[in-house]
Amino acid sequence: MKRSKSVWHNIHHELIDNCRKGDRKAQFEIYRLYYKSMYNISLRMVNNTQEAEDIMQESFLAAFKKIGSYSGEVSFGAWLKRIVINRSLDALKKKKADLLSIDDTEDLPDTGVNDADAIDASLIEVKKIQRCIKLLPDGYRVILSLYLLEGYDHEEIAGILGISASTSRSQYTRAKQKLAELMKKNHQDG
Amino acid sequence: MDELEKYIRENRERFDHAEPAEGHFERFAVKRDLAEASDSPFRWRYILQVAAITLLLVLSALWVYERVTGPSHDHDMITLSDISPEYREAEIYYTAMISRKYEEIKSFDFYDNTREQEILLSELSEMDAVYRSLQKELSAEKGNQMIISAMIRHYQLKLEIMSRIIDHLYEIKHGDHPKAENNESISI
Repeated sequence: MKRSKSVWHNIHHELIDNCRKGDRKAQFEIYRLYYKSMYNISLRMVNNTQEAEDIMQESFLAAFKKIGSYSGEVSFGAWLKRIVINRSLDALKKKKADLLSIDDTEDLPDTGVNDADAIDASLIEVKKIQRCIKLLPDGYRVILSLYLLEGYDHEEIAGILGISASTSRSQYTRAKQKLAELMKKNHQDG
Repeated sequence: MDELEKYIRENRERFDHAEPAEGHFERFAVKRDLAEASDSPFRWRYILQVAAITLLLVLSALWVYERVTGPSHDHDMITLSDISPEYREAEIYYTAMISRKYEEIKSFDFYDNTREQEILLSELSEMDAVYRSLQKELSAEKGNQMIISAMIRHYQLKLEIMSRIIDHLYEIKHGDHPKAENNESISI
């Protein structure tokens, strides 16, 4: 996500302008363009299909409502993404998900995999990774998704979650470790 | 960067394959339109006001009716609103729209031809007799989908007829009244 330009040139510039005017058709067009990636972002965070759909759709409505505050400093997709992430976090907090005390004290069970590097490249595949990410505790899953999949750096994650960058870094390392462990276990189980 | 990280970054786009459940677009369209409707408080307040007035009128009419005809077997007459919240919303919407159109017709200038206006309005009220008989049937067969559809259709038809009348009234008002043209051709 480069922010070299002060005003982002959006590919769907015209559509976005029409959305500003409350144009129904333009709003549906924007929805069609972005729903899938936004749905996947929310799904990774809240881990529930029904909830993810609601959050995704309400994020679009919120975005259309406050589109006047979209200044074009980032791409429209990036702006929308932040809305989806914030709303997903709110949903998790409402469910009292443990986001901050992400097992600081918990020791990973000794399965012989203490290092994510130790995982065999041939054991990795998308479906399996996704299955294992789903099994992660909420806090781990959120940090891992934000860093690895949504492409935020630790400084940005610190801002999003209201934690320090170093906490973000250490939690990410733990999350990745846990993921590697799950991957190995998953493989053994078949 | 370890293998796992590398693999995920290299295959990033493959991680976005999940699709929301079928019908998500339609669900979004409904949410979007409802949000827009609730964002314009004026229109909703107006509709609610009209609905409240209609309800009041209907209730007082019913009260008078009961007084005049005495207690009747219609006592347990049910309406669409009793079937489900969705039908209640539909009923509120249609009654509001109909009373709005009714007022519009009433407020039209009928070139002193108030008798014509009276006939028109009384014919419209007669349509309600159809609705009442449907209502009676529904009371006997609660939840019969065919009767419910007929009631909705009745509302839609009435609304359609009223819209056409109003369109026609506007046409007359703007001078392209066919009757006037005929008169002219005869005089020439």
